[in-house]
Amino acid sequence: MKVTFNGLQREVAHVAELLPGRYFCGIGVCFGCVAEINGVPEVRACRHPLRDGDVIRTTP
Amino acid sequence: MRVVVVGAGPAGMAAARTAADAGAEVVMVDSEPDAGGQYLRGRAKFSHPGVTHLKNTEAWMVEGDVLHLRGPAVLRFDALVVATGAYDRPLPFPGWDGPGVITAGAAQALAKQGITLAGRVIVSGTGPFLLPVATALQDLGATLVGVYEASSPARWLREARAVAANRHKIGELAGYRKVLPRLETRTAVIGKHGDRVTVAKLDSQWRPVSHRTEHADLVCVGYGFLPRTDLLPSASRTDDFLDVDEHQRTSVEHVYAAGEVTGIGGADLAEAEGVVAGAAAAGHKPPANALEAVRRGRLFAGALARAHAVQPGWKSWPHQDTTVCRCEKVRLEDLSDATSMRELKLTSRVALGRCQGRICARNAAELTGVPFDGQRRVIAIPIPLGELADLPEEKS
Repeated sequence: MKVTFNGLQREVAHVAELLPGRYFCGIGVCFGCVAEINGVPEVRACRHPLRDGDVIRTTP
Repeated sequence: MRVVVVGAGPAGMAAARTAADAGAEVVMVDSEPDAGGQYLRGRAKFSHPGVTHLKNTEAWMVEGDVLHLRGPAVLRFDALVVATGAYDRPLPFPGWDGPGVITAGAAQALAKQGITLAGRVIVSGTGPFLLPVATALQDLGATLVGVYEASSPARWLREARAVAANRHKIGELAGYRKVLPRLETRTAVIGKHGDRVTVAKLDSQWRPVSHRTEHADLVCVGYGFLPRTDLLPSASRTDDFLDVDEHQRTSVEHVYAAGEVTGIGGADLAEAEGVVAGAAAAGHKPPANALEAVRRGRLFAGALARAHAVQPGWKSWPHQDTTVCRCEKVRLEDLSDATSMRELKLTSRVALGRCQGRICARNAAELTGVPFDGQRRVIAIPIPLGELADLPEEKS
């Protein structure tokens, strides 16, 4: 999937590859992977099926 | 008669089907896009006459005979079945909050989507669930450096009665024979720095007695499971799992529970509990074969809990500067002397972050010796204030 991650173009199969150290429980419990996805804030990224063109931003 | 089921794993699906077949109007609410829960992950293809399946829907509070959903929306019920499952318990060690450490459940969820994340992997924890995770990773082409089981297999020798009643569970082991040569017992990962992983041999209390270095890119950890009890903060529980009677009734009126939220015993036990709960919730007598399957499965679940109980020696794994609470970056040395969980939270900020203690609260309690009486939150998931403001006003 071709996505934009914090302003950079990335090609990844799963959102876990974008969030090392933050993707942890994988099932929406730990909230480590919370990110803004396509303008929606506070999304648990692990529960989001990645699609081409997705824009993902992690808050500092 | 309306039965609402929360969770669409093996227990929830069985409860929904059984209640519908008994004539109830059934709504099954689930947070995922497809039924199946973590066990079947979208491979369940659920469809049943009389059951409305609300997908991608999170429930956040039970109030009397009403279930609150994100949206906001409310569902009134005559009986509620909570089948929300459980999640992996991690134990903290130096490096567990860095890259390349995920839970065994996360590894399993990724593997079911065909993804391994790394070439060289280690699975470390306790319980038979480690074996399917290791098998799935190996089947996808990962190099399995080791499967480390912290407990001693000798503990199962005391559980002959439970094993004899559940012989099919032994048969399941055959499916994992490819990873058995990589299995080491009384062993655990107690540190990770880059790809250097510290692997310790443990004594019976899980205190390290010797260690060595292995190289791996990914460590998958799971020291048993913690139940998702959020919807029932006041329900009676044992070791944080919901207490249920022989008809799967919880201590909360009109509320039943089924599956791993009541104890860990595998998908077949979860399904049998779902059948019992679904029938009872719809006001019918549960079928005798399901009651018998629950009785047998509970024997196994009890043996599993005893044989793979977390031993206190893990408390020597984290160093003073090791993170205990990932959300609020609270280190072991930041934990204060406290006499209660509440005091511990307010003085150290442990368990006050986004996960609300789901990952760290139990570990923090054990590290400091404060009593852990289970996780009790009024609201089950974080919801925007705007959504609360949109709730219809109460009619007086």
